[in-house]
Amino acid sequence: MEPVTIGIAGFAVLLIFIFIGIPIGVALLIAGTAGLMILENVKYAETQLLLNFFDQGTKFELTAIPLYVLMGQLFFRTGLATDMYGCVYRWLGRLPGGLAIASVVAAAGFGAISGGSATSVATLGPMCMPEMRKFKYSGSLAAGSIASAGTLGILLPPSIFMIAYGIWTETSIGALFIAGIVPGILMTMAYGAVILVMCLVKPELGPVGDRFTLREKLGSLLRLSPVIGIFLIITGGIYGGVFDPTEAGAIGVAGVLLFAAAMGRLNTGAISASLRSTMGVSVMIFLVLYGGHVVSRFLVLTDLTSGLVTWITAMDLSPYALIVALTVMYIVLGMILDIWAMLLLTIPFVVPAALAAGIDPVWFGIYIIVMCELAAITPPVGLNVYIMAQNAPEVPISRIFAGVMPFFITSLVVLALLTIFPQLVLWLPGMAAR
Amino acid sequence: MRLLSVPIVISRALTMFGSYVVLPVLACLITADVIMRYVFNNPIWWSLEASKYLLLLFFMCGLADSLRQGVHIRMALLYDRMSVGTKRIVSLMTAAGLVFAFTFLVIAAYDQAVFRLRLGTLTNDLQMPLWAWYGAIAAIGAVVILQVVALSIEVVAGRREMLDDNSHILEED
Repeated sequence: MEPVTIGIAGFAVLLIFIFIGIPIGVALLIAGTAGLMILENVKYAETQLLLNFFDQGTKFELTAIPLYVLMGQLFFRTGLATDMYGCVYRWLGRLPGGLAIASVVAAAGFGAISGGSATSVATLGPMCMPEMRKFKYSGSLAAGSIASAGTLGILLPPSIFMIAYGIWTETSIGALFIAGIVPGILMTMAYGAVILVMCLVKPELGPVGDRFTLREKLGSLLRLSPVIGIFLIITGGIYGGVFDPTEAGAIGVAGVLLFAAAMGRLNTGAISASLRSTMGVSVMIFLVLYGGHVVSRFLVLTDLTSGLVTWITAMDLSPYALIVALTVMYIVLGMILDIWAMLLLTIPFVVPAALAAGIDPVWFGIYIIVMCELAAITPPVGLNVYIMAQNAPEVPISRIFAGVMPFFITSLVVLALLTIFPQLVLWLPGMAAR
Repeated sequence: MRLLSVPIVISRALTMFGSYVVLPVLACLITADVIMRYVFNNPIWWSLEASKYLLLLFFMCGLADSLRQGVHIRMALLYDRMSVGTKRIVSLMTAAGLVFAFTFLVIAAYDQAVFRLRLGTLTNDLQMPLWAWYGAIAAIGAVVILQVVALSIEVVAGRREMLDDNSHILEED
């Protein structure tokens, strides 16, 4: 049998494994191991499994993953995230749709400390939903805004997906982190603006919240200091070349611990739960990356990767046409695949094709992250929507999906802006490189 | 049935060690290195290598227990709609696949450990014997296999629906 045929068959089996519910990391590992064994021999498969295990396990850049996960966990479990929402709520709650805008801004703040998307929704859902219920917000807007805002966590640094993309494509993780700042702020503002406009047109969607005195508002600002402080330390340290993104993770953990201790929030229960959760999430990501590398090695040997890249390159698409085609592909894939599966299964093909079309790898990384954001809220798989549904059982899932649609469209508009004006992404990393 | 709990107990202990010892040491070491470098102009020369191997140890410690904890993401679209019987079949397919892949890993790691022991190769900075690390990979791989086999027996015996504890435990001991 031709290697390409084996590659296509292996890829099809992998998709079947994923669809029937075999954990993604395990499915990648099985398909990759079997593929290597069939294509070469048992000894070769054994060697590749060990090589990849050792290489991935001792990759210093991967240390960033447990450190950023731990930072987010500590931030959540010590109550600093609740403080942050309380502050944003006091300042924005009186705007039309202000509570929903506050949840978007709080999600961006949480994203600046944690690196995930689902964690943001799981953290903010129980905090923001009760307030919005109290003021009779439209369930669709309330749940939709939180589910969508959670995606900001993977665009704003630090981001677990950026680390994975950086390791996978050998792109500077520091440059990706810095590049995510402007698009992340733009996306946050765009989400806030959409809520404001919707609630100005139909005020019953998001009535104004509690009134707070200027003294209360100013007093709450202190609660923002951990987020601002840690974000500035991480991004400032990376931007200024003081430390690399991995070291920034360790400094961030120390920062959260210091802030939490200073505010009297540190306790053994929070630390213990954070450490245990970090272990679970980190091992999950490790297995996905390990399995992804094994399957990638198999696909490279089949020439399927190079064949597809040659095919895409031969179409001689302009960078804009390529981005439009890839966007359509990612929206469709986002409907059927989880973010990790989508990322790992497409990166081997699309990144070389994008580079061949002259697209900057850092810009493309941000593009992929935005597409991952969309996948997190696209029906019928959108994970964030299901997490949100657990926090808002009174809102049917179909209404939450309807609620995320304005944000889905807004993300595409922002993406179009980033495509037309790539400097929005590349300006900051370019400045840092100088 | 008591024998089946042995790998589960071992994997739990490894997870505790990884979570409460290895991860804090890793975070402290990297932080200390940054402080030593910028404040005292005296970086910890062995920090990078130690961090890499601590990371490997951290992942290894959590691997076996993670399969029981159910932390691994999966596509739930079809899975959530499956009957208990079909879920059991998927669980057993997952287990078979894990045993298949990890047997390869264990064999390769064992061979490499024996080879490195004969060669006497050491790591660059800390001069740790490499055979010990490959031996550890083989040992952890074996724990993963035993854990998966133990959980699969429970699935076949009808004591649990899936490999992980998120499933309903059908029958108490």
